[in-house]
Amino acid sequence: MKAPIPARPKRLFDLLPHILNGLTLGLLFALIALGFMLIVGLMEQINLAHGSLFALGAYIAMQLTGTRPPLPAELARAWLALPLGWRYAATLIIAPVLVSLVGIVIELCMRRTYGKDPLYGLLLTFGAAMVIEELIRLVWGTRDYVLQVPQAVSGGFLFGDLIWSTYRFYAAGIAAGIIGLVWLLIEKTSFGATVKAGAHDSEIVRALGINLSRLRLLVFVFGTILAAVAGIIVAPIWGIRPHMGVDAVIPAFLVIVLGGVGSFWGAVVAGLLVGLCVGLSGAYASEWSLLSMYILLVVVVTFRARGLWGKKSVLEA
Amino acid sequence: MILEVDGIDTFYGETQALFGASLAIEPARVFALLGPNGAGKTTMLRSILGLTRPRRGTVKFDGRDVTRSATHEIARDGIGWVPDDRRLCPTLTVARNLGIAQKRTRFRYWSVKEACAIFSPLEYLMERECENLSGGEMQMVAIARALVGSPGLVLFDEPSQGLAPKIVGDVLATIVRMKEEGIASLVVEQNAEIALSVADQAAVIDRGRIVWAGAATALRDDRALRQRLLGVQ
Repeated sequence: MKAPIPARPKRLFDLLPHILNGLTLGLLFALIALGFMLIVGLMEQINLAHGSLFALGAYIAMQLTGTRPPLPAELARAWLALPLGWRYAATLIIAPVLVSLVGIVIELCMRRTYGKDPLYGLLLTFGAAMVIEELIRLVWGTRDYVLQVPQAVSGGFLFGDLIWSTYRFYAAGIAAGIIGLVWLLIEKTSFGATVKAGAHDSEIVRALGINLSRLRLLVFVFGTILAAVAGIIVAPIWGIRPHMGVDAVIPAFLVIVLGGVGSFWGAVVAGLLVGLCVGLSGAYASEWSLLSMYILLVVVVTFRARGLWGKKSVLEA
Repeated sequence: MILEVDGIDTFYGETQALFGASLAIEPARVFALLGPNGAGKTTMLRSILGLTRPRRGTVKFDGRDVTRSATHEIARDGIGWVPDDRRLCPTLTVARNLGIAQKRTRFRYWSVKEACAIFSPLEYLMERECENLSGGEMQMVAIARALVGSPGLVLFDEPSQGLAPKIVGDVLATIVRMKEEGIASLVVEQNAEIALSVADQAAVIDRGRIVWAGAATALRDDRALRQRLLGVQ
């Protein structure tokens, strides 16, 4: 979220970087919120561990792409001999898969809370978030880390007298791509239809012969994978530190409250709105840019908790 | 027997809803379970499906004890369900609602096309979202959904509820058609006349107990018996 802040804008054109910055940030917010939204919308569970899984994805990716991968010496040498681009691409798959194992454990613990007061699930995932965050501190300490990215997507380029970060455009592109793929999966596949039907009426789905426990596990694992991918994509911009999970879960929460439960595009538009809000407030008062997001959260929850497009509030989930 | 329910006791929390209830259905036969509101008819269906598990007694489907099986396994064995409120997913299209229900069992396989052939209007509704269907159309989709699950037995919960007489006639004709195709039905109804018009066997349930069981014709033809058991002419 450390946006490049040029001098205060005087002409409309000067606002362009802020708008673009806001939009890319918005796409990243939407990406972060995606897994969170799926789990709220399809399983009626607020997964407060989402941010910690996001952070865990970034840490594992950092470890895998770094100079000391957690592998036996032989394997580590072979791994490090690969070009960074290959290692990065492989990490984009391996790290989310590893994080999904943690997701499986959380879902198995969460099973006992289904059908009960949502507070149980909330407390359980809050506990899981704390455990993951402390484990991160234990393993990696409290210092900041940097995730190495391939040269092709790092650095900057000159356009209209301004230097633009290549990585931001890459990250926004990846975010848009993943959002599109998730939309296709939910709206255009039989798996998506089953998941939607299961969210609407779990009894009838079981009576149709669908193993609901397995379906819920799949959805949760999918949400976890999305969290980890978001962590890896966002890490080079925000940096890697134990608190990054909390930094992510708040905008994610804001995005789904604003977007409304069960509204896919609501979440995407809300992500863009929040991104623009942060980006544009940064243009006029950079010290207010993050605060503006929290103010927006308070205003939305107070006046329109069901969000802009939702049928009911996340807070009723 | 395709279904044998033997002396089941089913509870909702501490409230007992079924008391040693038994029934047996032969393959490719229609069985009517009659009784007033709150007698335990729906509970019987929920017990068979494992949605509300009986505490005592057994449920056997096609020779296999399914009393302790998970609901999705019971469905996969070949029991279909047409709930009284249809319970379609409103935001999905008819095609999707049918698609997620499609499966193979050891009974005859039904494709979506074959199921739709029974209800000709369904073909034109495939891309419509279920929230935009009429009550009759929803009932057709709910029955087609049970059918594409390739069942050996379909449980109908109050199939005539809230439908126009013409549609009720279509539903009954479908039950008979399914019987011709080798599918047994358990029809739970408050409206005895409707259920008895297609049933081979029948039972009357009252306050959680089966109080009478026999041939449907016996109940259909004996007005005094009907009057005594169901309080109707």
